[in-house]
Amino acid sequence: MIWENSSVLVLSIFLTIALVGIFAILKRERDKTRRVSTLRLFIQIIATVAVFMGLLLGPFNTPLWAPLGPAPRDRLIGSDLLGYQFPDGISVPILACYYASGRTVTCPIWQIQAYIFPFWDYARGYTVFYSTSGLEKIFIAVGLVAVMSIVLGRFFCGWLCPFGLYMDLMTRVRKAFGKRHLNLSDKRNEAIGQFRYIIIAVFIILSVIFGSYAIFGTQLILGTAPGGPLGTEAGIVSNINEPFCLVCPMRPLCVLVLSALGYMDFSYITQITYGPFWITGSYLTSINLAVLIAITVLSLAYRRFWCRICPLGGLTALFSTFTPFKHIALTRLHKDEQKCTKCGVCKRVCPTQATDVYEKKGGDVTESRCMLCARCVEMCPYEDALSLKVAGKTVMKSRNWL
Amino acid sequence: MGNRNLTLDCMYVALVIVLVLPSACLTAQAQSDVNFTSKDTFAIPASNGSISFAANGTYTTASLDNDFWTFVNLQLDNLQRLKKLEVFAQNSNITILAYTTFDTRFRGFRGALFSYTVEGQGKQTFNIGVPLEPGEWSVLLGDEFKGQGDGWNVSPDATVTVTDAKSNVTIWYFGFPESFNPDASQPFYVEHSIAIATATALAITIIFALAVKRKTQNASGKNTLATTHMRMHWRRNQAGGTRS
Repeated sequence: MIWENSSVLVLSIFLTIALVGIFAILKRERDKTRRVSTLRLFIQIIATVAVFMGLLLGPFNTPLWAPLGPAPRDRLIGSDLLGYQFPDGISVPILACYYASGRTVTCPIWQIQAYIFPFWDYARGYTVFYSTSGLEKIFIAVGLVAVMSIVLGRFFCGWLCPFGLYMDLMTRVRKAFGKRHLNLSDKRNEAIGQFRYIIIAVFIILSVIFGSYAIFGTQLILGTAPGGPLGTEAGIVSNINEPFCLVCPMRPLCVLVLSALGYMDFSYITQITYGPFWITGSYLTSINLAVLIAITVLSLAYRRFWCRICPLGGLTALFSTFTPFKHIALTRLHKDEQKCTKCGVCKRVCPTQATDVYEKKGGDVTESRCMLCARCVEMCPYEDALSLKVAGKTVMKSRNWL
Repeated sequence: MGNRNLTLDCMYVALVIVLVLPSACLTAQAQSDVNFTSKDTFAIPASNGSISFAANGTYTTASLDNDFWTFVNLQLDNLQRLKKLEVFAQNSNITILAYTTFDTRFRGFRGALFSYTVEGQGKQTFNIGVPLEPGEWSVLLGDEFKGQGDGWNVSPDATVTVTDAKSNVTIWYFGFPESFNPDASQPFYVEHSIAIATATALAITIIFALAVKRKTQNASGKNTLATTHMRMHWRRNQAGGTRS
C-alpha cells in the first residue's frame, strides 16, 4: 500500500495542497472583508490536519496499545527527534492532545502537569522513557512556550489551534441558522479573562500537591505515593494525574474525532477507565464531556467562548502581553491614532471582545485577550489604521474596502 | 466568486480525503479466519486443563502440540491481533480476559500485558511472543504483586509459568530498549542537549526581539523627529507667510 511506506509522499501532497490553497486564496479572494478570514480558516484546517499528522504517516498496522488500534502513533518526529530527554513531543501552545499527533506536538499544559507529577523523577511513565528530571523537562516545556509566544504570541490561538477551529465552526453553525451572537459586558468579559490565570494556578497547585511525595518525599494528601508496575500509579493518583486534563474539553474532542475516523477503537473510551466512568476515566471522563457540551453550547451563543478562559491562551499571553515580555514580543497589533476615527468596527468584530484596540489611543494595542486573528484589521475600513506587525514589519494592514 | 468557492471546496475535500484514506486502507484487510465464541473451550485432556476466552474472536489456526495450545493470529473482539500465543494449563481451567503487546516510542522498546482468570489450583504456562531482550516482569496474583519465584517464574525464552494462581492473574512485561541507559555517564552537553538548545533558543529570541525593539524605537524616534522638523518648518513657513 502506497501509504504505508510513503511518509514523504504524504507530506509532499499535504504541503502542496497547503501552499496551493494559501496561494489560491491570496490570488482569488477579491472580497477584502473576507480575505483574511478565508485564509485563516484554511490555515486552521491545515494546522489541524498537521497536528493530526499521526493519522497520515505510517507505518500502519503496527501493534500498539490494543484499544488504540493499529494507528501509526509514536513513530513521528516528536519522539524520535528529541529522544529520551523529551520524548513527549514539542510543546506548542495549541490545545491538542498527543493522542492524535503521536506526540509530535503536545499540549504544554499536559506536559507541565505530567512533569510536576507523575514523571517528576521517574525514568519511565506511560510506556515512555525519560533520561531527564522533572525540573529539566518543565524548563524545556516552558522554555519552548516562551520562545513561541515571544515570536508569535497568541497567533497560535487565532490561526493554529484545533480547538479554535472548533470554536469558529460553532460560530458558523450559529450563522447558518441566521442567529446573532451575544456579547458579554466588558466588565464580565474582563473578569472571565482573569479566570484563565486562576485555572493555571489551580492545576499547578494541584499537581504539586499530588506530586508531593515525588517532589518533597512526603504525601500532602494520602494516596499520592507512586507505585504499581509503572512506578507512577497509586491510589487516587491514577485518576487525577493531570487535573486540568480531566476537565479539558479538547481531550474528548480528540478522542471522539479519532474514534469517528476509525483510528481509535471505541473501547478505548469505554473500557480503559479507572473507577466508575461517571467519576473519572483514563482518557475520557464525564467531566470532560460535560465541559465540552457546556463550552459547545456557550460558544454557539458567544464567539470563541473557550478562548476567553483557556489557560493555554493565558500561558501564551503571559509570555507575550505582560511585562517584561510585552516589550519584546515580536507579533503585535498596531493602531495609527491619526487614522482611526473611532468608528468601533474593530470592537464589534473582535471574537473575544478585546477592547484595547478600540479604547487605546494608538501604538501597540495587543492585549492578553487578543488572539491576533486580524479580524479587526480585515474589517477596519480606514487605510493603514490597523496593522499586524511581525518584528516591526507590517504583514497585514487595514484597507479601505468601502 | 463561483470559481473561488469551487477551488476552496476542492481543497477542503482533498484534505478530508487525505485524512480519511489511510483509515479506509486500514479497514480493507481481508483475512480468512476461524471464528470462535466465548462459549468454546479448548481442552487439554492429558493435563486435565482447558482454555477459553472471555470474548468472541478469531484465529487463523489453533493446534494442540505437547499439551500446548498454539493460536496463530488470535484476535479477541476489540483487541489487537496476536501473532502467536502458546498456552498450557494443568489441573486448571483458565479464561483469557485480555492481552496486548505494544511497540512504542523508540525502536526496540516493547511491552506486553496478559490477563486471565483461573479455576482450580494448577499450573499455567504462557508464551505471548515478546522479544528476548532485557526487561522487567510484574505479576499480579489476585490483588497482590508477587516477586519472581513467589508463585510464578519466567524462563529465558520469555515463557511465564504461574503456579500459585487462585483467581485473577495479570502479567506485565516492559522491555528496555538497548540504547536506553539513563545511568550511563555522558558529557553534560549531550545529557542535557535539549535543555541547552531550549535555553539557547530562548536567549537568541530575546536578543533578537530586543534588537528589533531597539531598531523600531530608533525608527519611530527618527519619524517623530522628522515629523517635528516638518511641523516646525511648516509653522515657520506659515508664520513667514503671514508676516509677508
